[in-house]
Amino acid sequence: MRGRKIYYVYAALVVIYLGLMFLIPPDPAVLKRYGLSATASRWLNVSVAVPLMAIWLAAFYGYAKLRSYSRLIRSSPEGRAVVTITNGVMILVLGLPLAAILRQILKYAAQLDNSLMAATTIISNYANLIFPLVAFILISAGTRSLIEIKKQRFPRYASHALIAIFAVISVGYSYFVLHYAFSDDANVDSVYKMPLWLVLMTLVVPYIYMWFIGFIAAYEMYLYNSAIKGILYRKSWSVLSAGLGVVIITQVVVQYLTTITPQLNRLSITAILLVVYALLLLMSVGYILVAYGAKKLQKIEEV
Amino acid sequence: MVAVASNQLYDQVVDVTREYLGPAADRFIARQITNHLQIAPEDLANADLRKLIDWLKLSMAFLTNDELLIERYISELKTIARIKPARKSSGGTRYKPVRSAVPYIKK
Repeated sequence: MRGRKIYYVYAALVVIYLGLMFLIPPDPAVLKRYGLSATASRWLNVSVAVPLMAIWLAAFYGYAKLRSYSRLIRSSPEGRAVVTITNGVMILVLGLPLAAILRQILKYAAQLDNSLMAATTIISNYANLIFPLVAFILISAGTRSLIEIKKQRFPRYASHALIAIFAVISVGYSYFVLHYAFSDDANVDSVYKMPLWLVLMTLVVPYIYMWFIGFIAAYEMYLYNSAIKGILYRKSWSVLSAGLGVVIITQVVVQYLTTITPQLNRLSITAILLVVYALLLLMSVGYILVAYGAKKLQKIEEV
Repeated sequence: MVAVASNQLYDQVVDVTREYLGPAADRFIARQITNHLQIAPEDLANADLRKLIDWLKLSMAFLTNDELLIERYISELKTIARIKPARKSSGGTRYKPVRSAVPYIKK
């Protein structure tokens, strides 16, 4: 997608998202539970949608700049790796509004026909997983190619630290999912609408895999950055890699928190939402850093 | 890497530039020579160096506001221009490799 095209895509997705938000009638059950009017419910949705769309815009801007830079260097030795990372970022960025739109449509379908609830929940869970999973696989392939160019290897302390972080995340996540599955007030079927073994194999395992390769990709970016020459080039690249690192890590933490939200609902939902929004804000800062770094690198290739 | 037929002078300019622009140095220098001197990078000769350095100073100013860094870069390039050809050998004119004498200290 060249130049302005990506912003047209953004505008189209925002129009669809807002259109769905205003056209789909609020769920009467939700209105009754919180004592809200239909208008109040719509304004509440707008207050959530505005910061969300600003975050998407930052993400699209970051991607557009990275794309321009990767097009300029695609025939260079590091070009192929940067193009792969850019494709990963594209899926990550497009996945943000696409998954939100799909969730709106599925929610409405379930509202119209209650028998579709199980199907829409399952599709929604997989839609949340698939975009970042594909994106992280591509980003990880790109960062691996970058460190292969420099013939770098993982230092032993880094491997041990990553394995330790991975173990904590995996055990923590599995604990939350299993604890909820066997709790008295709910069962795994009420949240995921699938048997536990299927949840573990097709949701928990891919999430853990994705987070792990995400952390490795962030570390590989740092590793490549420490090996490249050039005072000005390195300065610009370090902004870009810091931005990508922030995007990857915040994406992992946001997914971690949002996927265990039902299990954490004894805690204050406001507190969880505040943390998630703070992380989303941090993610948009990451995308702006990506844009800034890519813009500086692009300038080097254009002057 | 930009495919440029062997030219030691060109390689020296790229080597100096690599300290500043890393992997982008080769492409950067090839572009400056092609666009501003209107010659092929492999045809770069000692006589073109002064003009090239002027263009490089200007181009670097677009990339950074750090005047100290630009001055250091230009003085390293000027060192290449001042070097007289070493003893003639069967391989043609040779130039001594340039290494920066003063390490860059960021203020």
